[in-house]
Amino acid sequence: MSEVLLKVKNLSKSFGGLRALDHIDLEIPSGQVVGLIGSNGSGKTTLINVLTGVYRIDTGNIEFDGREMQGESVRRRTILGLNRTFQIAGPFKSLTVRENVELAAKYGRGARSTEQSVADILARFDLLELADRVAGTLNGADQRRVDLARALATCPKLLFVDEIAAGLGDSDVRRLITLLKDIQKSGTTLLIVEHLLYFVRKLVDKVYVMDQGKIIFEGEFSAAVKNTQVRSAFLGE
Amino acid sequence: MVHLALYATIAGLLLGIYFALLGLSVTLIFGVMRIVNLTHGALVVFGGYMAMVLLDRLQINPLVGMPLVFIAFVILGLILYYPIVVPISRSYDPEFISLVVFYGVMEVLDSIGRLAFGATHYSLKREIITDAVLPVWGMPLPVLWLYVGGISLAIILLFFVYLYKSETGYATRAIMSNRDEARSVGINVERISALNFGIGIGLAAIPGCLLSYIYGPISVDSSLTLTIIAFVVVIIGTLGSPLGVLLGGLISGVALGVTQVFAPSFASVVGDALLLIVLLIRPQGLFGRLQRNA
Amino acid sequence: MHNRYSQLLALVITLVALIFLSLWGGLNQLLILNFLIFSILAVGINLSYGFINYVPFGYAGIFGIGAYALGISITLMHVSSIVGVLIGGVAGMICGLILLPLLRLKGAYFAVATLAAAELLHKIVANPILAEWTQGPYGLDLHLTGHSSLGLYLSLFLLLGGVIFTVFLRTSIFGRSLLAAKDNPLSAQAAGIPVYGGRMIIWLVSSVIAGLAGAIYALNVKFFYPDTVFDLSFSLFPLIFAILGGVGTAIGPLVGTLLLYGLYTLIGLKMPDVFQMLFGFVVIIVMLSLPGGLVGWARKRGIDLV
Repeated sequence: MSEVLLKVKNLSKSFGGLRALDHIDLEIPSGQVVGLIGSNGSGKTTLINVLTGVYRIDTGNIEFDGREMQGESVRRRTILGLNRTFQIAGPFKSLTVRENVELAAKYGRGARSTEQSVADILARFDLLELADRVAGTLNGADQRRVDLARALATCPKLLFVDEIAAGLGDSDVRRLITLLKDIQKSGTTLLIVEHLLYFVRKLVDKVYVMDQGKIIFEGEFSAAVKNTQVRSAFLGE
Repeated sequence: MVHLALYATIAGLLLGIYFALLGLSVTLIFGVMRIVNLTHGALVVFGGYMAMVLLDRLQINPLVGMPLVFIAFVILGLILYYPIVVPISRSYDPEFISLVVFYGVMEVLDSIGRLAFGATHYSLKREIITDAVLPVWGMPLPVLWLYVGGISLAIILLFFVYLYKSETGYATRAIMSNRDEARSVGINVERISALNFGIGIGLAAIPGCLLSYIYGPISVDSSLTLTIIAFVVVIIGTLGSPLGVLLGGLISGVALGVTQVFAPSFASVVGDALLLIVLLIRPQGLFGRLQRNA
Repeated sequence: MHNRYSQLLALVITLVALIFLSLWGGLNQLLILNFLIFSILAVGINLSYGFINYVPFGYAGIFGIGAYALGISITLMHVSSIVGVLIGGVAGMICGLILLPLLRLKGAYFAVATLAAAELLHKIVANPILAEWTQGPYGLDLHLTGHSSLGLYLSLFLLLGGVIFTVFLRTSIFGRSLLAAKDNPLSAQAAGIPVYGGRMIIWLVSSVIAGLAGAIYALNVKFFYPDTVFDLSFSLFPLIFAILGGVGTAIGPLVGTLLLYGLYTLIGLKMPDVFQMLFGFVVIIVMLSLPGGLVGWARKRGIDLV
């Protein structure tokens, strides 16, 4: 098992004339929680989309768990252990919560076996009560938990958590933080894409800051908030 | 041989302008409302029926009758709009639901056509306009085709004037590019959509008046083929693009013209084959941008 | 679960009753055959639309190829009827494979593309150039004499098979993975579900069903023109039957066919144009007010049908 789980080199992606990602270099060490912050339009979501296979890259290199990934499909990456939550798409709204988790557990684990049953997963995410409800009838926060459970049911080695705290109340946010810390403890490496800096600060070992398609800072969170480039990008100082 | 090819190309271009006229309706209705109008061919035929009735009963020259046909069908479109189109555009999948609902409307129209006119193939007499023939490299080119090409071109240009020079047309283009944004800018999207739907239906019927002069007989049996031709034209040129329709029409017309001259037994499949080829190679058409497909 | 099993039982009993009715009840055999064929086609289209969200307007094209595959193999290769039907199924699968690239297209484009493909196949088969094999526009005569219930048995068998497969999809996790892929293809891939593979399998099963149905139909009518078997009614009617009954369920297509085809036999045979108009209105009204069909309507009232 490599020490660096995800290695991204010189990654670029343009849409027509717009340069969405500009020579991105990134390293995510195994077992850590890494944060990715940046204002809207900085390219965070595009980066996640590219890393998970939703978009093809223009140039660059993605190495996951020692393997070249840039040509692989979304599904293949899932099976190899790379997964994400969805900001918009979310769970399967026409299926029950249990079915959402069942499918991912059955199809997405690849070679990674585990003792964790569907019931275990539902319990861990506090979804036992809602298990037979149709996902589309749940509120936003619960749907996000279902989506997270879906992603975790595939036993990913690396999980991208995409803006999961957006619009949630304080108690929900605190629950999420505990949940994610727990997920990290059980061996999943996390990349947290987030707006809510309080959320990021509590969780991450290191942080990347993006602005206009480029990485402008890499390092500890406490250093990031003092960095002049970061401050000018976020606060216009 | 070269002369034959040139003749086929000229005939094809004239036919192509007519095909472009056929495509206007489909592209307008799809562009504005994202509705796939399967009744298109039936409407063309009905336009032809109306021209025929005007000629037989009221001795009105088809060329003069065209504006009348247009108005009649615009009214029909407006009548159909509120009970049928509005619920579709509010549904969870307008593109698909419109496909099936308009299939239903097509069956209704088809049955009405059969009850009223049977399966008889009607052709309007050519002499009414002109029976003259122009010798092109020794081969006869019906002057009527030039008339049809010219009139079609005139209508197409009128349509472009409407779309690009009038205020309603400007609003229409805004809706075509982004419906929600158009609404937020203050455009009365519902009213303009209704109007365009009516115009679209009218534009479907107009070519019917000229149908028997350049393409084939007026009969409900032709409706499906006409629908497919219109779809081919529009898809080649990119669904929702008015300029594309012209190009798509010319390409289809020349393809058909050349095939009819050099490989006549394949002429009937040109439309279908073209459609499949375009959809497989470049479904977004000549001007479109491909959207990511999950 | 208890609910499901009792429904399945009811379904099986109904189908068995149908079997008895058609063979010993003295009902018009041609009528029963047509009803079975349309039911089969509705079940087949239901697979394609209900589980993978592709509407094959051109389903009749595959049906027609199946018919001609049987016709040609019997007239030119002198195979037995059953082998001919199997060849029809293979022909259906080949059609499905050839049309696979069309699965890239979304919704309406796919529908129209299959329509064009069906028209293309129709015109090719009808072309006098191929008359040596297909008898072209003159009609293909299978020269089969004698009364045989083989076609009836085969169609019942096929219908049962199709329904059982649909029930399997409704109750298995594979079937649920298809529904998930239909619901949200991106999330499905992120759950490891083989979206493209699943689509391909269902599409091919659906094509085989159309091919087999066409072959069985040809076997029964014994003489047909290209216009007969490539008639778009073989796509559009079953589609509407399935939609009316409720796509994505096992019962839906059967209920829809029973109701609408039943209506057809009452009115349509005597007044086809009037029926056509009524049919059109039914389509419009159902799509606008009951897009989930009758089964969807039942579901809203808490009755979950298989």
